[in-house]
Amino acid sequence: MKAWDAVLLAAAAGMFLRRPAAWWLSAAAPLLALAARPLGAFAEPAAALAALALAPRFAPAALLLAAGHYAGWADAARSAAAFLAVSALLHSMEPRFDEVSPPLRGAPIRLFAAGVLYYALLPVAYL
Amino acid sequence: MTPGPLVHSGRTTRVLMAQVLLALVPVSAAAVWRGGTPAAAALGSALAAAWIAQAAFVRRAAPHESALVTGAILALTMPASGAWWLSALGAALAVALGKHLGGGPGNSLFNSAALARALLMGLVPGLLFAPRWPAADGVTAASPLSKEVDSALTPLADLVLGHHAGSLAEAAPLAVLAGGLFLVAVRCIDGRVPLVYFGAVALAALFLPAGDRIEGHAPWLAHNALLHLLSGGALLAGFFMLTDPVTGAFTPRGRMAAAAIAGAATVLARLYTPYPDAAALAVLLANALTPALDARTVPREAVE
Repeated sequence: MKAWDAVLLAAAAGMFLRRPAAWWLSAAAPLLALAARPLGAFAEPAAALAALALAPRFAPAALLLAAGHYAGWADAARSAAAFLAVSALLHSMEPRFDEVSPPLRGAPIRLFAAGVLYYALLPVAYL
Repeated sequence: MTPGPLVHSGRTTRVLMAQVLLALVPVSAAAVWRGGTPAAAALGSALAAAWIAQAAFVRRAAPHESALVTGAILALTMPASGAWWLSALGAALAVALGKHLGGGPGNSLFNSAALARALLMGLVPGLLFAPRWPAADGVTAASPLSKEVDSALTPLADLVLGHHAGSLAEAAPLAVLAGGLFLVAVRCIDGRVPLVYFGAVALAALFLPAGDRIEGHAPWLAHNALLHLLSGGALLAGFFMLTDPVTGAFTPRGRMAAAAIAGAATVLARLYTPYPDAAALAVLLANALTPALDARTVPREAVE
């Protein structure tokens, strides 16, 4: 999975999870995934376990983030920062999600917003 | 924001939409004059598709002016001499997805025209990101914002007069400017928003260094504020998209902060990414930032 796809999917998943106080620790998942790479066949399970340990209640988001393919440390760090920024952006939109009219409300409008942000922020992936 | 009593300005949504439609007349007329039948077909099909999409969602008799505004703005972002169905598809997507499914009329999360434009960029990138664009007069050439090897510096006079390849609105930048200034004059929009947006575009264009993507390919894109202001969707975004009262910030400071961020994002994408233009994407980013900006800029007395 491309780094940008992993970041957006993880941020979108985070919208449906109850945020623990230390949810932001999940942002370390790309770095852990990269650190685990020398383990060969054990790399993915090790990265997944480490991602789970970061913030267990935020594990689905962390696991998606750990599944991304990161070109190097700079890419992983950039993806971690992007995850924090996009998650915060989507979280800040929560009041707007409550104001919208039918037919799209609840989870569909949140996924809609995440999809729009995927395209709107796609140029960031090229920076 | 002060507590009541509040006095109604007397201007209804219908009046405001009529003013925006009136402001779009000069650029639409200029685009048809320059582009001929294909431009007229693009505009006409977009207006018709927007109207039909609105009627499909709003069963009762309701004003459709806002859908027409969306359709017209969307059509003006389409390539000159582009297929009519592309404008129609975009306008239908804008009204159906942007306006009705994306929050509902009056509650849309994202600017409908910008959203549809972004969707089309994803669905049919070949038609919107072609290295060589058909100009309004039928000549195929590279867009002024193109970074490809065969791109060339567009003279300032051609930029001002719209004698280059690009979107319908780019065929007449002065007409977009006239329409925008009309909206400011009748106080339909907050004039500070386009001012801040254009200022941010100009400053970013002047001071940001040339990136690898343009160095050696299109170095004239760096430190060229006028080029960035007059080409692409900058003028249309500044006057007609960022000033959208539904998707824009509620507070004046929030609106201006969003405009500044959008301006910087527009130029960043043009200089450092493969995108020739990303004004519509910058508008969507500004829309997404609206709740956060409102929360940080609402006056303290309004909260207490």
